[in-house]
Amino acid sequence: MWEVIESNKRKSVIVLLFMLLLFGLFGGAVGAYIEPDITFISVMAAIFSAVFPVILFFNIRRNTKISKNSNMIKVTHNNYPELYNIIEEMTIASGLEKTPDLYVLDADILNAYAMGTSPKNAIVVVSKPLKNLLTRDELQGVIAHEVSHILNRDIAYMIFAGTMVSIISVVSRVLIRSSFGSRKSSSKGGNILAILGLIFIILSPLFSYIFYMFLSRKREYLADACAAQFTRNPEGLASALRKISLGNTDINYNNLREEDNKYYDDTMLNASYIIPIKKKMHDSLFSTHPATENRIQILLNMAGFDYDEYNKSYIKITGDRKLIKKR
Amino acid sequence: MNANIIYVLMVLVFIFLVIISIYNQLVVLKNRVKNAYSQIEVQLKRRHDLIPNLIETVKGYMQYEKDILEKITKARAAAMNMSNDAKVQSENENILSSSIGSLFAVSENYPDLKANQNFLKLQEELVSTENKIGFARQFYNDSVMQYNTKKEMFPNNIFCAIFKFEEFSMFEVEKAAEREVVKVDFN
Repeated sequence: MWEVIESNKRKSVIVLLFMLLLFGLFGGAVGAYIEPDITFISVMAAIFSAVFPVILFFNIRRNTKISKNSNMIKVTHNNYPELYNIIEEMTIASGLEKTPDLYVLDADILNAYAMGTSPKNAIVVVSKPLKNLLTRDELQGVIAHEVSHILNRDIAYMIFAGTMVSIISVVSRVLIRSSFGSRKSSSKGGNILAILGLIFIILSPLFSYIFYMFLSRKREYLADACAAQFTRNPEGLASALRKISLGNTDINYNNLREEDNKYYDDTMLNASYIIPIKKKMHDSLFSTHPATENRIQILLNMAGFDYDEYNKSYIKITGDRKLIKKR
Repeated sequence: MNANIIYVLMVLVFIFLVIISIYNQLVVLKNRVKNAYSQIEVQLKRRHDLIPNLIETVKGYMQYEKDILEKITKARAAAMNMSNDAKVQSENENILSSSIGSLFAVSENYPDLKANQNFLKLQEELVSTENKIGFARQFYNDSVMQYNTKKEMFPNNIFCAIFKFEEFSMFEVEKAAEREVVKVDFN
């Protein structure tokens, strides 16, 4: 499974670099459109477009402290010994260097999430009703899932990808408005290119959003697979997912994470929970999470507990070709 | 004339960087193995330290189970002796695991004991420590496997001979009983 994690990290970097490259090319193209031919301006525009998301990401990372509600109680060995032991166990099983801080959230929801852009400052939050509802094995599965997100740096990755989706959406809106304004004279051949360009600009927010959801779902599956391998007990997580999905309602999520809401939009926050607030029946294009029933079935159908078994089960249940390859 | 020399230099620099990268990867993996091993020892020691408290708590209630308590005490003493032979040490720890498991199994017959808060706390601690021992061993094995695989791959195997990266062997979980103790269900 560690090869899968490595492979996933490599592929993620490639995806991000590719997106930055696209940004750069796009910026360069806009620059070339404004000042015809490749000039200093278009090169600067290209470099700026590629570098801007990176700077934005690091700024977000630097400015956002992990927000803690007054409803969150930090878990110590004294107040919640069982939870404390569980997260220590998962730290050992996953090889993390530092045990992430664990908080119990006093809110009337059944959910858990992880937050934090690097394993050093990451936290896991479990809601109180969830802690009371689940058995030790089930809690272990849930916390293993969240710890896997921390280990795989999913939160940082999705924030970065989400930033780029937002940039694409803003830029495309600006470009659409500006291209309906003043018209630069262009030749006949150029018009078709301009139309194609316009269609691309209109559709790219949609495409990038769909791609973002695809990435989010893949990472949820990978977190499930890692949790199964760490705990050696897929049934624990499966049973927890079942209980949560039966008991969850949409109410009570308003204003839950006020502080977090300042920096991240609803989609990104939704992606960090273990079960999304809005559920869908299948793995739809637009959901941050796979269908919970799929996740449960895959876990229950595993013959063993390592990644190969998860992959086989995943292929059988979803009909996909593979989840993530080993190399 | 100059161009050729530059190309050769570039290739050499590239190879040099690759060697450094391989070496560093192996160092990281090797240290991960060492850390994983010491984590196992930390948890084993923690278990040793918890046991006297357990015996004290349980003694008053389980007067008819003296032999189990003795077994645990003996196993603990043997394990704490830190035999040099890894196999023997591992055997002793496994015996200790299964005797603690027997104690908890038998404690089902003593409702008074099961209501004792102290006992419940200790049970949670011991169960968690057993889990941690299991997870630490599992992580150790995974690390060793990663390290060995990376070592054996080409071209890394050439460098390992030169730089003398040592071999590690994996932990074997011998008895089925030990596996059972690791997964205790609190249903």
